[in-house]
Amino acid sequence: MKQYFAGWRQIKAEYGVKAILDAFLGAFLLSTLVIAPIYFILIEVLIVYFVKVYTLAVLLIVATLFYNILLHRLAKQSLFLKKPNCLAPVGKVLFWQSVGGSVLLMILGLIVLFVLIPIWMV
Amino acid sequence: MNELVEKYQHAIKYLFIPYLVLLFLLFYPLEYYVQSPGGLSEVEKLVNIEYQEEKETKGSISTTFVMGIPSPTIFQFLVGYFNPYSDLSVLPASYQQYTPTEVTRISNLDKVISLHNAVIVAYQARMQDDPAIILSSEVKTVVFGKSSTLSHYDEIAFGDEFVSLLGDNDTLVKSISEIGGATTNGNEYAFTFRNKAGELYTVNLLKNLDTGLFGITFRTYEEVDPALSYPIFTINDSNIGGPSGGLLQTLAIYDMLTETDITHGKKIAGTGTINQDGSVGYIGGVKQKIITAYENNVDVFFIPYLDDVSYDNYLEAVNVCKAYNIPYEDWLIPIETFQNALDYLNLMGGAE
Repeated sequence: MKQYFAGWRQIKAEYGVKAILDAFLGAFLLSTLVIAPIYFILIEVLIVYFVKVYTLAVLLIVATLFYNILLHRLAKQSLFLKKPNCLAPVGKVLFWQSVGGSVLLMILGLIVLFVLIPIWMV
Repeated sequence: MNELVEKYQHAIKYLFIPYLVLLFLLFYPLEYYVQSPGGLSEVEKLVNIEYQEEKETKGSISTTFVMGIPSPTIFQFLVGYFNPYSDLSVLPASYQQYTPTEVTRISNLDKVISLHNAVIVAYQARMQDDPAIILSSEVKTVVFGKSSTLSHYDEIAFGDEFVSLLGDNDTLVKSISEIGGATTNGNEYAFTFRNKAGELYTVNLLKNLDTGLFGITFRTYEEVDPALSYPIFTINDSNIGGPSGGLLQTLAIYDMLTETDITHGKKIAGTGTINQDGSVGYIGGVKQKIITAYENNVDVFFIPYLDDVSYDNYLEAVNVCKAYNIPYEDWLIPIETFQNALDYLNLMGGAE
């Protein structure tokens, strides 16, 4: 954890807050463009194939994990494109951030699967 | 951001038109109705009865619901078209007349009325053996339909209770059967309703000159008073509407009132409306309900069998089972009354 925060301090020192926010905004917009139709397709299929609600909910969780990974990969790419010879550990920091995000999303996904869907089906 | 846009500009350029087409398919609605298999909903999550709380029911009693999709998108329509279990039809008149929110309200009202019928039938059935059970109910007349020509359309909500009407010669009318006879001289009459919050309000409704009607449909039903009945029961909020769960709701409530476990550890599901005399009524979406029950590994499925006519639910269900290779012997159980279902479950328990 210490290394992670130290890594972020290095990235901040090298790029500046504005460039980091710009990279994440670009990554967010592009990854959202990619994932939005996938979400809509899965949700519309889920409504018609509601009998397979758990299978499709798992696919939605997988899509969310993919979104998280894509967002971080694009952010990393954007930062590298801004400064190809950067010395800060961008790849490492964003990789662990992506892993942490995925774990969190997985927990939320499991709550949806085992708590929210059964509550909703009343 | 610019670096990313520059790097992927070719992909963005070439995919722009297909992307828009995809969004069009995903959002453009069609004037159709898609009905697909849905899921099971356990009745014990819908109704709470403070009685026999130490009792453990090993099996489950569930209603079966289907997914009705009014005005599906082109994509949903295509998915439904290729789904062998879905049925496509033109948008039903109710969806053309009412907004989706209004249809949901009507459907919920239908479910609440069905639940009160279920409580009445189950309590009455148990009262014979358990004198501690008390049932108190009163007849209510509620707004169940509104014509687009109804004056004060937005002020009168579905489910509001009809209280009285000031008819000709200032006669106070309290029964809907007397409305016609008491409103022959004029065109505008004062109706008094009670809303969900219990507040009374009066509106002057105009008669439609062409039809001679006020444009309002009422429904009368018997509402159980939970405070004056024993044991006390509560109905939880739910997302699933309609009256087709009546039979299974009655069975589940009956199970909550008895010492024995009427499920005998089995997963019980089914469909059918319930009437106050304990008889069951037809439902729609038989195909989707059978598929839903089968996919959810239900042990027993109750379905109304009232007559040897082509539209009979049981006969339709048998045809569905044959078409989709679903073994229906001892699984699909034809039912005419609540008592039939109860007898079957008792027999099932005795046979084990």
